[in-house]
Amino acid sequence: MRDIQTDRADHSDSSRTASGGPGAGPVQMPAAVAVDRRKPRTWLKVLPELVTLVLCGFLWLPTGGFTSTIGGPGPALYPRVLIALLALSMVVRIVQQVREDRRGIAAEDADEAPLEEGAEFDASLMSGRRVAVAIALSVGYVFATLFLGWVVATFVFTIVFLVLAGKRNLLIVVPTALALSVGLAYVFVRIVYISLPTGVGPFDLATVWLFELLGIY
Amino acid sequence: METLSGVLEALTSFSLTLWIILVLGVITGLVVGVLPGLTFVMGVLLILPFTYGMEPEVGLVLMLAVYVAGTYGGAITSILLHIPGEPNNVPLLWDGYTMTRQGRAAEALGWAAIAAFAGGLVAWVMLTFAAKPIATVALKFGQAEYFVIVLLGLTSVLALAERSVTRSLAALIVGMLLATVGVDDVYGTVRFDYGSDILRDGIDYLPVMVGIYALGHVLIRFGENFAAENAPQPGRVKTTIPGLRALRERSGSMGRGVAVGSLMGGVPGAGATVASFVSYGLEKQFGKDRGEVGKGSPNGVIAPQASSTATVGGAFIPLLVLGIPGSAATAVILGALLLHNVQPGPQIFQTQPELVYTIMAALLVSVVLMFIVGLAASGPMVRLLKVPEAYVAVLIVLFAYIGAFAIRNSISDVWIMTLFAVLGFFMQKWGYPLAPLVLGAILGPLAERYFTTAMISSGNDLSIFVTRPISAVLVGVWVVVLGFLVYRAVRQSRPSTPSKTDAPTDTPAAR
Repeated sequence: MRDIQTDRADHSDSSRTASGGPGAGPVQMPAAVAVDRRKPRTWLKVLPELVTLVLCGFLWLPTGGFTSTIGGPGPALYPRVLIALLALSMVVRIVQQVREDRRGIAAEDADEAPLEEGAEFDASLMSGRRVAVAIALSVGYVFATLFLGWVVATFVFTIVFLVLAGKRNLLIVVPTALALSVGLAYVFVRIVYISLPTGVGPFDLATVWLFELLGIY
Repeated sequence: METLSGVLEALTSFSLTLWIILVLGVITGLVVGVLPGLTFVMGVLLILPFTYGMEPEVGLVLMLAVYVAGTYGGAITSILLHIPGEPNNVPLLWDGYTMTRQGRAAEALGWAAIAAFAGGLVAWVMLTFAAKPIATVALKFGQAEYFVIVLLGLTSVLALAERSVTRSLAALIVGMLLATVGVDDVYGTVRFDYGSDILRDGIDYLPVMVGIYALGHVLIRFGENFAAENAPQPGRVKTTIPGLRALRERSGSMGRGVAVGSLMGGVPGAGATVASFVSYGLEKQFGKDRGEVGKGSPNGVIAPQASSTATVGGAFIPLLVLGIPGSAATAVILGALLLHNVQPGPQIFQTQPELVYTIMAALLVSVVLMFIVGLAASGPMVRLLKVPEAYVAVLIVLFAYIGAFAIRNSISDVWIMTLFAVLGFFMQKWGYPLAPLVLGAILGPLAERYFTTAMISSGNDLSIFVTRPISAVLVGVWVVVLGFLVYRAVRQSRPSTPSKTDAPTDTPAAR
């Protein structure tokens, strides 16, 4: 959001400096333009709420088919009440945000924004790119367990995760990955009887062979 | 008396396995409490898959021990190193760490240990002596009463919302809606499956919890590059147990702490974290030494710690007696009970008395072990902090996968877990709290089931909720709580209303 705001600011600044000559310094925005610049920001801020509102509409559609011949309130009432309440709370949130933004036009630096938006963690410590990497790793790990089997996927995942987390000493990382993948497989498959995925094709064969070797199977 | 003799009999017939499990559980709970990357809710969640292969009582005892000890473990690092191992240990920073800086670390540690012990003992007394009488009253409850109790629970989640009531409501409803996916309990109608088998099987709250609390936490910490305070390790960790006179002097603060914890434990919107903060706030406003609180007063350590551990008793009673969890950790334990085919409710005293007495006896032993092991092992536990958080994080991910997978031996639960970890991250980014979502997913289906069956049996007559006497009283209480909630919501929407106390700005993480 901040990047988009900066882009718009640059655009406005360049159009001003074009008339004011090259190298003109930062320009004071009159209030009217400041309000315009805020409008896209508000829409963006309430985008999650708007999307949820639309989703409420989509969720309402199938409830017509929730029927039953037994008496009572029926299987559709409860979800409908919930969807209506959710839609209402989204509308209230949007109204609250718009009112806050109108009041906050005189407000100071955008660095306060993360706290005002009420994010539950400190945005200044967070790197969006790193979170994206963590999400990709997690999703990739689950996929990998389906094809490579749990043991192999876990071994690979552990190494990749630790390396990306900054632990580059492979002499510690690789044995740790091995101990965790094999050790946990032993505990959970042999002792707790959970049938963790064994993978497909050659990976399946390899996992079964390993389990037999370790006395798990 | 009958209960007490049942408990003593259970205690004397503990097998060696059970004793070993208790010790392991307490150690695990203390370690989980100490490590900042792990909360005790996560600890109980991640230990769940271990319990599948165990007898129900052994698995339950393990989870109980982790839960109890987890409320105390983090006190040690809060006091010594300004590192709260758990969100409920945050208030201990304000006086506990200050005492360390004043050279009174041993005294602070002693008070924390005694407070946890006292809180745990009160929890045990409450569970042992109050559970059965409450169960006897609860036998008179019908579906209408159960519905109003769950409704009270849902409303209290909102009334106790830390920030915006509207956002908490939205999160709560999302949780409740999630629980409607799949086959309806009462009518057998399939809802929101969109033709998918995964959705037809429903969304269990356990993978949602594992995703939000465990994997979601790792996503955030990875995003922060596991940034942490680098505090110097203390040379030697010493603890001084306060004497009898000091105990008498501080009994007011101790009493207030355990009272708050016991009461708040049973309220679904409040767990150890809320109780701890509320207790600290009360001490600062009304305590005998209120001027000293915040400057290194033992009362600032005693009240929050006593209240954190006391919540265990308060949370266990509605769990056992009504099947309604009083906290996130007891919600996980409920999941474990159901997976082992144990149906909690007022009848449990008749159908499974040995299990109930075993749980009560195990709570007492856990509290004592927590005290002893906590004191003896403070030094080594502090050294645990040297383990880089990245390794703890990897362990959490692996356990999260296994935990989600093992519920139904199904990869779809792992996908649900992953989805909620990601969704949970974005919800937090947009300012939506996650605890209401989890509680909504747990209490939502209960609310629907009780409401629907009450209405079916009354012939669609809504007045049943006010014509039945017990239900009418509960509805009255609900109206009061609702009134408080509306008042809060209206106050929040007024411009420039300060919404938080004058406590320092450490923000508690999701319970």
